[in-house]
Amino acid sequence: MADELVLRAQRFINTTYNNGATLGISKLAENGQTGWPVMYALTRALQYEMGITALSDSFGPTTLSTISAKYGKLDDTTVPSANFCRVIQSALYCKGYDGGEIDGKYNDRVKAAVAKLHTNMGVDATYPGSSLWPKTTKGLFNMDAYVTVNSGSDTIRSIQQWLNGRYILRKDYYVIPCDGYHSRDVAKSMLLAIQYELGMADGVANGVFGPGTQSGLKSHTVAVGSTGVWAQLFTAAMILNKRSVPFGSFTAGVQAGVESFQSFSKLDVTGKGDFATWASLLVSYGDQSRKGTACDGVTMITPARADALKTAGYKYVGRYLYNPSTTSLPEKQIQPGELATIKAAGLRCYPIYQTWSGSADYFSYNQGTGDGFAAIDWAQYHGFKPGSIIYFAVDYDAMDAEVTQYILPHFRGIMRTIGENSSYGVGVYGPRNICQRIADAGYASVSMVSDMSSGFSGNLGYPLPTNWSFDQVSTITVGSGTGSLEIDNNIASGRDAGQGDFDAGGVAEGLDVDLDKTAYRDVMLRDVRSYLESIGVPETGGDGWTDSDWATLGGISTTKAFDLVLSADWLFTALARQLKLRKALIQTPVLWELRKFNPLDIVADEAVKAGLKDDSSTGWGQIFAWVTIEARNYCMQQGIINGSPLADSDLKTVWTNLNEDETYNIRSATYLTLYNAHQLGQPRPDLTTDLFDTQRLLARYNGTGEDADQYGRELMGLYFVLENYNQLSRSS
Amino acid sequence: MGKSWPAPFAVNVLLGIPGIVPIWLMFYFAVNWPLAGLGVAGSNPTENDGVLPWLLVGGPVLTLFFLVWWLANRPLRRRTLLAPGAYWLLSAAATTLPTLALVVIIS
Repeated sequence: MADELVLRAQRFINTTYNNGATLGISKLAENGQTGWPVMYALTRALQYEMGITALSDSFGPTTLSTISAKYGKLDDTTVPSANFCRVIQSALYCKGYDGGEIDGKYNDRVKAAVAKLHTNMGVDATYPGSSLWPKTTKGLFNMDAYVTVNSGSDTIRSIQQWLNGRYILRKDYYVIPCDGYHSRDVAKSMLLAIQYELGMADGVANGVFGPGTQSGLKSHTVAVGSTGVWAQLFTAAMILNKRSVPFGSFTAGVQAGVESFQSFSKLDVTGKGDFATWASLLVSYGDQSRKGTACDGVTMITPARADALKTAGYKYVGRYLYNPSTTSLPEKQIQPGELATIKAAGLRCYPIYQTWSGSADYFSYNQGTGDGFAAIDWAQYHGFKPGSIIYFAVDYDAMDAEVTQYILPHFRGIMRTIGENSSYGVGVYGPRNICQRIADAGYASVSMVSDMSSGFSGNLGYPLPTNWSFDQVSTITVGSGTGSLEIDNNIASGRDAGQGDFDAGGVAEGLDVDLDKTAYRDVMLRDVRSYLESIGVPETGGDGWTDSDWATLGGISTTKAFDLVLSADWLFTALARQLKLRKALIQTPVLWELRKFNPLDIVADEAVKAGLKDDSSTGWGQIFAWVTIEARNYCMQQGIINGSPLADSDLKTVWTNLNEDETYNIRSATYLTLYNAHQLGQPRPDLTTDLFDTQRLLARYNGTGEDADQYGRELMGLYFVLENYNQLSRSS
Repeated sequence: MGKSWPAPFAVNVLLGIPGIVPIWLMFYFAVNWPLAGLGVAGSNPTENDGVLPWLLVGGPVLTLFFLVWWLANRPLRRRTLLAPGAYWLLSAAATTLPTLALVVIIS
C-alpha cells in the first residue's frame, strides 16, 4: 500500500542524492512502499552526511561509532546539517512515525516521534527526552517493528521491551524488535541477558549457549516462590515458547505451566525451572547430556551393534529406505538381513526416505509424488508392514516463503500418494517451523525434529512441533569394538513406536522400470512416428482431405506427445510397479489422446469452467469426471487404493483435478483401466495379460461400439512399440 | 453472365481463402454428427465431448463469415444481369474454389 509520507522520503533521497548516484545505488522506486531498499538508501545517506566515504547498506560498527564519536547523541543541538536531519526525518516516516515534514529541522514533531519510538522500544527510562542515541538510531534504520504486527502477542512485546530497557547499555546488546513475535534476534538476546545476569563481562557474553552459560544456569534453578530477574527471565522464556504463564514471578500457575511443558517435551516433570528445562526453552537441542531412547544413523545395525544400543537404553532405530549413491555412505540404506537383526534384538525400526532434499529447487508436487511412490516401493521391498510411518526429509534451512512455494506442495504430493496408494503413514524430518507447517496443512502425522541445527531459522524462535515423535538432540558414539557405532541421539515422545516385526519383503519379478531414455528415446520416437504415419496419423494435422484430424494441426505433434509421456515416465513406472501391470497399457491411451488433442477439446473445457457443461473429457488422458468417479470408487471398494468414496457432488472437484493436475489424470487413467477390466468381465490386468485382453482394454478406454473397436485396433500397434522398448529397459 | 461478373468472381474467390475455415468446420460437423449417425461416414473416436464445443466455435465463425460474405455480395449482385438465384449459387461455388484447390493439393 502506498504511503504518502514514505513517498516523500523516497523523493527526498532521489532529489538530494542525484537519483542514488551519490550514494552508489540506483534510483529509488517512488512507490510509497517502505522496505529494505529504502532503509539501505537512508543508511548510506546518513553515512554520507557524516563524512564516511566507504558507504554501505549495513548500519555497522563504523556507522555506530562515528555517531558516538562525532555527536554523542542526535538532537537539535548536535545534528550537523539540514540534510542530515532530513535523513532522520525520512527514516521516521518510513518507520511509521511523524517525520515533521522533512524540513531539515529537528522540530517538536520530530522530538515527539523520537520519544514515542523510544517508548515503543522500551528504552524510554534509559533514554528519556527526545534525542536519538547511536543504538536507537541503528534501531530506526531497519525494518524491525516496535509495535505488534499481524496479531503479535502483547505479552511477548512487553518482554521484548523489558529486555531492551534492561540491557541496552551493554556493549554487545542491540535493540531487538518489539513486534510481539519470537525470532532469532529475541532468542539471542535472551541468551545475552542470561549471560549478563550470570556476571559475564561485555566482550565475553556472546549470545551463544556455551559451557559457561550452561554451568551458570545449573546453579540458577527457579521454583515456586522465586522472584526477581531470574524468575522474569524464566517466565519470559516460557512465554516465548508459547506457554501461557504470566511474566514475572514464579507462581503456582507458572509451576503448572512448567509441568505441562516438561511433560510435552519429555523432560523430567519437576515443576521447577531446572537446567534441562532452561536448556529446552533457550536452544532447540536443549540439554545435550540427555540420553534418548531413539536414534538414527547411516551404519548397518549388526547383532553386536544392536546389543550395544540395547545396553545403552535405546529402543527405536531410524534407518534409511534408499541410498541413491553407490559410493557415499555404503551402509546408509537398510542392508539385507538388518531388519531381522533389529527384530531379534527386540528393537524397533522407523523408516526414513531421503535422496537429496538439500535445497528448495528439489521440492515440488511432482517430486513429492515420485518420492511417495519410491518410498512405498522400497518400504514394501524391505518388508515394512502396513501402518508404518515413513519420514520424508527437509534437510536444509528452508525460508518461510520456500516452505509455501516448494515444500508444502511437495508434501501434498507425498501425502496424496502415500495416502491413496499404500497403507503407510507420513512423517516429516526437518526443522521445527517446517514440521509444524506441514503438520498444520495435514500432510504429516508426526515430526522428527532436526533440533541439533540450533542456528537454523526454522528452529530459532519456534517451539517443538505439537506432533513431534523424535527430537534429535546430539550425535554420540555408543558401544565399543565391533559394537561401536555413531548415532544421532533422539528423545522419543511415544507418538511413533516404529515397527518390531516385518514382512518377508522382496520385489516381484518382471516389473516395469524407468525407460533407459539415453539408449532408447530417439529410436522409440522414430518407431512411434513410423507406426502412426502408417495408420494415417502424421506428425501433425490429418492425412487426406476427409481426415477430421486436421483439427490437430499445429497442436500437440507426435513428437511433443511422446516427449510429454516420457516426461511422466517416472509416474507411469511407479503406477505400473505399484499395481503390477504393464506401463505401456496406460502410456498408450495417454499418448494417443495427447496427439489427438484439438481446439474443440479446449473449448469443451472452457465450457465446463463457464458452467455451460458439467463435464468434458479433459487433461492428458482426456477422461471424463463421471467415469473417474466410478473408476476410483471401484478401486477403493476393491482395496486397490484408499480414499473416501466420491459422489456426484464431487464432479466439479474431480473434473478440476483431472484438468489441472496431470499426475491425478494419469493415475485416474490407470484406475480407469482396472475398472474397465471389471466392466469387460475380464481379469484385472497384470504382467501376464494377453494381447487379446490388452486390446479389449485399450478399446474400452474409448468406450463401446465400433468407434471404440477401431480405437482399440489402432492403439494396439502403438502398445507394441512402447512395450518393446519398455521390455528392453527391463532387460538391461 | 453479366458484364461485371469478373468482379464478383474475384471477390468470392478471395473470400474463399479465409472461407476454408468455416467450410472445413461445416465438414467437421457433418462427418462427426449427422453423417456418422447415418453410418455414411466414420466419426473420430476421440470426438466425444458432444456438439456444444463445435457450436461455440462454429456458430460465431460461420455467422460472421456468412454475414461478411452476404454484405460483400449484395452490392455486387445488383450490378449483374444474372437472376438472383443463379448469382448466389455461382458466388457460393466461387467461394468454395480455394477449399477445393486445397483438397486437390492434400490429395
